[in-house]
Amino acid sequence: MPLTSESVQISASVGFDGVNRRADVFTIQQLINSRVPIPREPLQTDGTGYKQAGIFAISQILKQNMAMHIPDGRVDPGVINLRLPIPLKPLTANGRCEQATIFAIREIQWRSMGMRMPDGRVDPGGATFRFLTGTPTTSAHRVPVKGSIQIAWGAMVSASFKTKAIKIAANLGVDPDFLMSAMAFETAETFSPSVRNKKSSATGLIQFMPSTAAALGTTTQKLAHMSDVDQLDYVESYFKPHTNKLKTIEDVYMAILWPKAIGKPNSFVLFNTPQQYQPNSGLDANHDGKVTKEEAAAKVKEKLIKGKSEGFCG
Amino acid sequence: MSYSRFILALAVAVCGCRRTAPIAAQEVGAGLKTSETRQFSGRHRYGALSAVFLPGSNQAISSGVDEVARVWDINTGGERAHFSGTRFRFQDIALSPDGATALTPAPDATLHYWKVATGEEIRRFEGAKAIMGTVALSANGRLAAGAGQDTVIHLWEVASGKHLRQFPITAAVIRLVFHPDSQTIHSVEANGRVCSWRIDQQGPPGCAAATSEPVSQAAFSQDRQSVLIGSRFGSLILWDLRMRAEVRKLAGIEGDIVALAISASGEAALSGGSDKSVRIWNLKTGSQVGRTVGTGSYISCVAFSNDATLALFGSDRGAITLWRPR
Repeated sequence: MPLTSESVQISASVGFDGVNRRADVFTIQQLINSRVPIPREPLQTDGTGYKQAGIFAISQILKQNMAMHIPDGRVDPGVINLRLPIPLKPLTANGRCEQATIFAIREIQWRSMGMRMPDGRVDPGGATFRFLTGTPTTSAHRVPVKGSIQIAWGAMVSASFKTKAIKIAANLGVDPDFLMSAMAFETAETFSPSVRNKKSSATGLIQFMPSTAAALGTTTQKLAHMSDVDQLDYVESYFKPHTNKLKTIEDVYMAILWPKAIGKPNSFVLFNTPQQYQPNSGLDANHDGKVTKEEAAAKVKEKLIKGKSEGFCG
Repeated sequence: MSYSRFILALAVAVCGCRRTAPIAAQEVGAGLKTSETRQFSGRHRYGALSAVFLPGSNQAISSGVDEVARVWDINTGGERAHFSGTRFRFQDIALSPDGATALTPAPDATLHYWKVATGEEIRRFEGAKAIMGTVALSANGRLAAGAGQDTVIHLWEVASGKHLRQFPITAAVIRLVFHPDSQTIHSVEANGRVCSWRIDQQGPPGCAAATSEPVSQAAFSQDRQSVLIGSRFGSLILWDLRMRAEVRKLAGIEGDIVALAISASGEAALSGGSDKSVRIWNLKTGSQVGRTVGTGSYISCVAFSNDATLALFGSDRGAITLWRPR
């Protein structure tokens, strides 16, 4: 019988910086082992990828590691399945969170989930937990509940998260689709409360900066250790000064990135000094040495479109 | 182990903040040589939020996300006492000049006025609608102020706890202080606006835009003539409150400025941030004159002694460290 989020639960976080209760670690080790690829003979590296053996191998990897029910046996450039899983050895399910367990969690987050910044941790109800239990990919999870409000990315989060996000959006006078899309962008679509930028220490659903966390009476350490639903309280608190001022998705994202640009036209220049531009040069779509509000928010707009598409909206 | 003894006039300095107060010279045996650091023998789980040297004693107090306020012995680095409970999780602290009472914000959008020696609450100030990240006590001890996420500066009467008035602002307030005359409040907002509010007048405040960058932290000088403003992009600007003009830009850091403090003399400043380092700056020249590295992912708070011979800093891993920068 497959392990699912209905049949398996953990009481607290497991992995790097996690609470690591023995029973929870044991559960996660079992879940990881259920996803570890079956050891296979290495393929001949002769460039004949079209051969049946090669196609079969790719299909097996996709099926076993990406919960792809009908694997297409193909690796496309730029898509998530290019991060092929390495054949992890099964973990010793001993309830101890050792390096091998954290490494395995990171490998799964990076290679199978496509996390840009794997944190090596599994939170109860979080994206990694849902991935390990197969929750995000089950069709039942994505079937909209009759009569419920559909929001962007609603199919990728728990019902309690979605309900709370809608309530917070209403409190703030923000379109919930905008709020969800901003969080999808900031968390690389994982909605993980512990996803963290190693360089800046920015953490969680809206990548709280250390100074932002401090102003809210917490630290990024603490934020990373709370559930996604609990962290939404801090999202609301952060956005509170901008209540009823965020009417566009650009403005919602500016509240996170550059609050001074809220209400300004989309041509407003955010970064033009070297100190500001350098870390954000990737946002400069037309390579003119400046990043405008529109350019900065372009990727969040893409998340809005994706989040409202079938399979993500819910 | 023998500790050298030295005379130290202690000032109040706050993690992530500023504030100095007149204090009596105090003999304190910290036993640190120049450039040495000493980590205190305990930590705040999930990170430190604030810390302060207690005037007129060889003690310091810190608070953390663990909802514990710890009183430290500076000489030994050991914990002398601790108070626990939600209200002891505070990111700013304003002490009375004698250090006997403290005003701190609580997570439930209230301010607490309490006795430092016992932790006993004297008064609670209510009326705000969101968490307040910064608090202030007037020099005459009659007024308390707080501000934060509800874009309002709140003013209370200390003796009665009565909410006197509120000042609407345009963004979250990063730092708030009273002028020594107790009639003016200075504020730095997250959008870079620096304002001075006359509490006995209804007219608009005197405001100026000090920076276009998102402000992450600020520290006022003791004489309230200047304020050091740090941004999420690591820049540091010294701003003249009277002239409403930039004095100079400091080199800054690569990353988020999380904590700032200015010495009582106004000549030196401490910064801490996401580059994990604590830096000491000469505000007269704008140059960096000392640096040490903390534990954890970032420095969450810094504090300065009155003569700038000792510094205290905390990290997101909860360690509190004493440093003798020079």
